[in-house]
Amino acid sequence: MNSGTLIGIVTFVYLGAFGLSITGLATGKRELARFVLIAALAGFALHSAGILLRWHESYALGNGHVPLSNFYESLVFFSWATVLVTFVGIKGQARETVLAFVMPGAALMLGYASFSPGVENAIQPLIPALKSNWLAIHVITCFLGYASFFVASVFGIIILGSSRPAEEMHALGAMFYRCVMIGFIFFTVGILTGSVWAQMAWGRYWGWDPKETWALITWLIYAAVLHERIRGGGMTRRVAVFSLVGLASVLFTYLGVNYLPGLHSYF
Amino acid sequence: MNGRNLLRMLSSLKLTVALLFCVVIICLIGTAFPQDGVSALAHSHVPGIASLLSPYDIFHSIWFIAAGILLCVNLVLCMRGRLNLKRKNLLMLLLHVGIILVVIGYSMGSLSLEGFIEIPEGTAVSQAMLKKGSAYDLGFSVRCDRFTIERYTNGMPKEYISDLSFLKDGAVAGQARLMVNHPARFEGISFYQESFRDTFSASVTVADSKGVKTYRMLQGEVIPLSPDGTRAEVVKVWDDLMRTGPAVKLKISGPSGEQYLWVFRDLKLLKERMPGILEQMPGFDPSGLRPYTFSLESLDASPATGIGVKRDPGAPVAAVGGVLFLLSLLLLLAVPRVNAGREKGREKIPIAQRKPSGKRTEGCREGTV
Repeated sequence: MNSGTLIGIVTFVYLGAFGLSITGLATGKRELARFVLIAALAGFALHSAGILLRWHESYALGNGHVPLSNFYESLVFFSWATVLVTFVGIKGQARETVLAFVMPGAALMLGYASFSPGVENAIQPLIPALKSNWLAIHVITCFLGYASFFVASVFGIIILGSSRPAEEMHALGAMFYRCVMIGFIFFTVGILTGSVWAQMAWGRYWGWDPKETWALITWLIYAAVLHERIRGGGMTRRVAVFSLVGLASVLFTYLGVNYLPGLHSYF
Repeated sequence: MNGRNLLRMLSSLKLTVALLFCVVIICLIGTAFPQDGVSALAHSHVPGIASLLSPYDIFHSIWFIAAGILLCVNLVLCMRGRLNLKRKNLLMLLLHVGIILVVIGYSMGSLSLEGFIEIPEGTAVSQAMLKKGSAYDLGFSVRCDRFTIERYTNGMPKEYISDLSFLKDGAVAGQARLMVNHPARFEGISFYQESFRDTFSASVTVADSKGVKTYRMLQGEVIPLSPDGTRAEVVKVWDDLMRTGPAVKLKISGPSGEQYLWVFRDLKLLKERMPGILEQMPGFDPSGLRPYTFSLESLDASPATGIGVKRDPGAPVAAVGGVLFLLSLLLLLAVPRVNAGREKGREKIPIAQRKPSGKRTEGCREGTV
């Protein structure tokens, strides 16, 4: 079995977990939560194996490199990172709720990567611009940042959808803050490593390339989220709204920028 | 508004959040309009509000700089009260000092050098073309000893390599192997592999009543043909023109004006393939310009490497700022979370103190993070 098939299977495992999860939420059968967790964990294990297998396959082809070098590989990693953040960052009952949002998101990314004819999934050798030790650390930190922001906005949606005042939802507010903060740190490292790499490759650490500018826009919006949280004295509905604006910016930074001319055309 | 209110407004977190979104909007405009310098020039004549916003050069516009300065002022005023050296507040201070350093480092970009050199293989260059359009004397010369493209088995480029020698007073003072992602440095200036292209040199023989002369002409080079000011320039080259092999297009300028001539290496083949072509196309006749007869002996391609030439004294300042910011942010997360108490309902330190009226204070000196 090759990594592509394995990743394709993971898509359906995540979809299954999502199905179980909404069934559990809709029928109130709490015992289903355990199976959601098992399915998600199984999917995550296969997903990790798929990434490692693809890495191995690239070596077998004679041009071995970390599988983080094109759009397909970035989708697979983004999806993996969201599930990872959910398992590592969220504890207890909240994880069940978050999984109900993360599973379809992760499946959608994998499904798009695996089944869209527009996404090239062949393993290609690295072009000279990508042959750098900064590639892995830059891409990994950026996507862990994106993934944490994604999970944070799940809390944003839950808080906005609830009839209770945001200020009273202390546990959710604390988890929201944790995700934003961890995302902010990863994303900052991503931008900094990106600028070091840009300095090595192009001789300028910042050049207002659309991807760079959009990364800054996303970073500024999350800076605003953090400041608004202090200003408002904790979690408020406005903070939650800002975080959703942030998510839109994350998605545009990742996907939308490809439609603008720039130097980040490989992702 | 009196001074006290102004100060309160300038040091408020409300302003921080508003300014952050202002910068976001400016950046949005920056990605919606091309910021390539060319578009700015093309639209510089457009009068009115559009040019006042300078959307094509927004990151140097008054709006962007003003928003940046205001944000820094806001930040400094916010930090003013945090000088009591409690661990958490100190980290907060260092974090924001980091941002200011990045801004200062980036602003020092105006002192930077940003240029380009193109060196045909085997030749040396001592002047860089600056982005602004002027030439810059490097103080030494750079020779490209060899330019190589390594390829994968499927033909994709694997590596672009320029082997360079740095020459001072005619002697080799340094050598470097330049590759993408592997810059070289000499006398404080950094060199980056940016591009390459094939350059052509044509060997052209010109016969007139006085005799026969052969010139080696690079594309774009102007060669004087006679004392009356007549000169020739290779304006275009072909590997294979009209399936007869190499050809060049010459521009001949002289007292009688400009004329173009297409010189084929294999004139015989052209005449065989298309009888009567020289009569139909006078520009193809190598003797069409009296008193000269041109012929193309050979056309040779050789690679030229394109190298970025940079020096940025602000980069280390920005780097220190970035590291300071990141370290403070990490430590801030590692320091036991004082404010977590509130969200777990074990409030110890108020995050935003409320005035008796119940209105929240806007000053950001209150509360922790």
